[in-house]
Amino acid sequence: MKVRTKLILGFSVIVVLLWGIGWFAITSFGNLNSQFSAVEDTVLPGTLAMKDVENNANKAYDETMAYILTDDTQAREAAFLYLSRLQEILDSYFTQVATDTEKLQADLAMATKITDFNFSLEALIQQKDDGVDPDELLRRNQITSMPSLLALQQEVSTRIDLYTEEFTSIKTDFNKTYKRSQQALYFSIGLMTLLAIIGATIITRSIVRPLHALHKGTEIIAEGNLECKLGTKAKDEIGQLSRAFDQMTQSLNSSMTSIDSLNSEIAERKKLEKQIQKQVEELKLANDKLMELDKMKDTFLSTVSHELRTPLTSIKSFAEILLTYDEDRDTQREFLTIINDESDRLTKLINDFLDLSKIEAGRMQWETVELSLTPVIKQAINITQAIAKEKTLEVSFTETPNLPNVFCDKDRLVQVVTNLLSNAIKFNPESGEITVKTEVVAEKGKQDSSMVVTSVSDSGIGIAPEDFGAVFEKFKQVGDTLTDKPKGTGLGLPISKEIIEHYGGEIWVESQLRKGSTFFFSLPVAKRIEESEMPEPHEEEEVVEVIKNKKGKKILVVDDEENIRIFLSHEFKRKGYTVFVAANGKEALDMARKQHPDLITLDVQMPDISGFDVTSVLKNDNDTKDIPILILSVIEDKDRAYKLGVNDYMTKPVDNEELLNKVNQLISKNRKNILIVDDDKSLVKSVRYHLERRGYLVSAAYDGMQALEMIEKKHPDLILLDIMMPVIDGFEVIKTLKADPDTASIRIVLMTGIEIDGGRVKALSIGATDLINKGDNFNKLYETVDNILMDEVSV
Amino acid sequence: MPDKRILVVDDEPHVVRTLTFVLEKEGYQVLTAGNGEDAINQVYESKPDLMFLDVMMPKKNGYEVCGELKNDSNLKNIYIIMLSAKGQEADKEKAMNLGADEFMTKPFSPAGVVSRVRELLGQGA
Repeated sequence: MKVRTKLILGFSVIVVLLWGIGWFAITSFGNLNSQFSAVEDTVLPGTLAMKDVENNANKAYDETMAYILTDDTQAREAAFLYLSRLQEILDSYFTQVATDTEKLQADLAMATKITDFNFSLEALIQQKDDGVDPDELLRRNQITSMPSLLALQQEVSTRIDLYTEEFTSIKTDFNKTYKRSQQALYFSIGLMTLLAIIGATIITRSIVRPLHALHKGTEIIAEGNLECKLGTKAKDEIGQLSRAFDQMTQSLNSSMTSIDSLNSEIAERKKLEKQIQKQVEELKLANDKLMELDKMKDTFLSTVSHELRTPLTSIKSFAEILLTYDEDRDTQREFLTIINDESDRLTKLINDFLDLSKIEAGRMQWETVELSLTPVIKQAINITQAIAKEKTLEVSFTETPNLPNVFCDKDRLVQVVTNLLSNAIKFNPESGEITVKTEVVAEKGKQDSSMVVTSVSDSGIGIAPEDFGAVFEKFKQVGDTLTDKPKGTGLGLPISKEIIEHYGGEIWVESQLRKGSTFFFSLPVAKRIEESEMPEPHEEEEVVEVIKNKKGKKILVVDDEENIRIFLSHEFKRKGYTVFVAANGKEALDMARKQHPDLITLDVQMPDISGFDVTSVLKNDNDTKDIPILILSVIEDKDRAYKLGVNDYMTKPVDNEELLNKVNQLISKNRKNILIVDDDKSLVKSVRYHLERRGYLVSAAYDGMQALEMIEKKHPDLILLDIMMPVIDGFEVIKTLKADPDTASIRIVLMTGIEIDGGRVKALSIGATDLINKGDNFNKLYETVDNILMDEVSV
Repeated sequence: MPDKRILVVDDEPHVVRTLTFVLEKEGYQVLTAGNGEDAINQVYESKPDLMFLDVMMPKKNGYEVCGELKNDSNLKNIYIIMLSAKGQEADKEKAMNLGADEFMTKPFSPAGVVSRVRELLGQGA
């Protein structure tokens, strides 16, 4: 029960009690009044006495009269009885002596009247006794007794009236007093009730309100707000309690604040500890990884060492045997063949290592062209045909009609398929089957970007599922225990993975132990270049120009294979070129000097003088150094070729259409040499692709130092130069170029990834032809390039 | 002097070919095996005087073969020359601990091999 309710109830009880007392008092007053009325009627001694007097007097008179008239002695005695009673009354009268004079006089008068009456009647009775005639007596009576009786009666009546009057006055007074008392009582009760209510209200307020505030305060604190302050000024116990409460809140607040700061400090520390722990863990992880890597490197080195030493062992042993023993020609030939084969094996191994380290270091030169997988697979099947035949294995390949093209480096892709095929052959039992398939698979959720998926299946030993990932890892070979001796370097698949991933594809394996494996790789379908990116009219113009210029252009075809010479001559003649042929290096050099062709297609592997030798002779002769040379070779050594100054390089077998396009480009007078220099390889790739599509010869460098080397070698017509680069930045490159009279005239377009204030002005002031923001649409870059190089033609 | 028998164990046919060639030239009787299991069978069958044992081989590697033979009191006297293309100290140590008598790193000189064998066994025929 609330305090307020309790107080109200208490006061209510008090009020009810007060009203009860009042009611009782009023009731008592009423009783008094009724008792008083009874007194008025019964206990009025004066009046009664008077009536007694009158009564006795009357009776005494009547008896006396009866005696007189009848001589009845009984009546006489009765008369005396009444008379004696009267005498008694009279006597009693005077026992109580009246105090005030008036009453005393009235009493005396009364006594006299009674005495008179008594005497008159006694005299009459005496006379009767004496025998006086009754009539006489009656007459006498008329004179004596009768008047005194009347006088007595008169007196009694007067006295009764007097008494009644006196009583009425007393009663009136009483009533007045009673009424006044009653009113006073009512008033008091009302006043007390009012006072009680007011008192209750005041007390309730002074107690309940601060209590309520205290209650609210505790609630607020319970909610966590310690800023609560009651601020009471009351001096009573509740006031003290409130002040104590405020004090408590304040100290609670301050301790909470310190707890808070302590808590946040603890949290901060814990966070720090966690961070440190995390860093320690990371460090540990990194360390573990390093250790593992170190171990892997050790294992790898040991494997590499083993793989290199194995062919070397054969080479050295057989060479020594040949030197030591005189054997017949056949044996010698057998041993020499072994030496030769093992040398090839060693070369292949070394090339693999170099490829991988080049890819890893980001120095691999990727030639991106749009191509179909079908001829690539055919070429790979051709390459692996010999080893497949050895194991009497059949490689079946079903061409997919209308297979979309992909973007890739053709030679690299051949490398991938060859690798997968030779693995399949290696692990397949004899007389098994190897299947190559291609299909187009839509990428999940992306309708417009589908992939060409190529699969190579064998029915060999298979791979355990836990090793699916490991087969593509560098330095790892599945089952590289000592008993399962790995074949090759274990680098073929890692290299393939790098190649495929470089072109946005994926490579994976599905396999069942003892049932065979299927290796898959996917490459994104080459999207048609959008018109906005590749303005058609421009290209058409170029094509027209090329055709116009084609008339009378001379091509020298150099190859030791007659079939190839015939085939190439036929193709070129069909396109309107004049064709000369040479069957070896010496003929080629003679023909080049004599005819001064507009283009030479050159085989590398030729007797006596190789294609590379021919190139270096021609490129070092001022007369012939401007003749474009296109290498057509089965071997892939682009690096060496480009270093010698070859203009383009294609790996046999070549795609006819691609060949004719390249020839067109190379032969066209407008073909300009552009060097793109940027450390962002993907940007270089993309720009290079688009510029090549526009008919430019494009070479690339990835830092300033490389750029300077390339410039010296290629003397490009235009350089697209990134400003922010490692080793030597773009500004340094410009400075160096402008300082050298040989290179000062090369046009330079600076490329910047960030906005530079007044960048263009600055660029022009240091000798650049233009400044391009890399954030802009690249069409702007290509247009700028077109404009600059067109200007140069008209000049 | 009885024919000295030499067992050449290697999965690389060229290595087998070289060693067979030079050892036969010296008049030794040469037996060959292309893997560890074959090697052990050959040893039981023909009890060679000396064997060349490659480490990395299919089925049973050279270490296993070496351990097995050196633990057999009848066979432990066979002189074992281990051949390895790995040539790391740890590999050599492992071979020696298993009881190998010599450890040779590839590539080796056939002439060197022959003179060492001659030292150990004397002239073959």
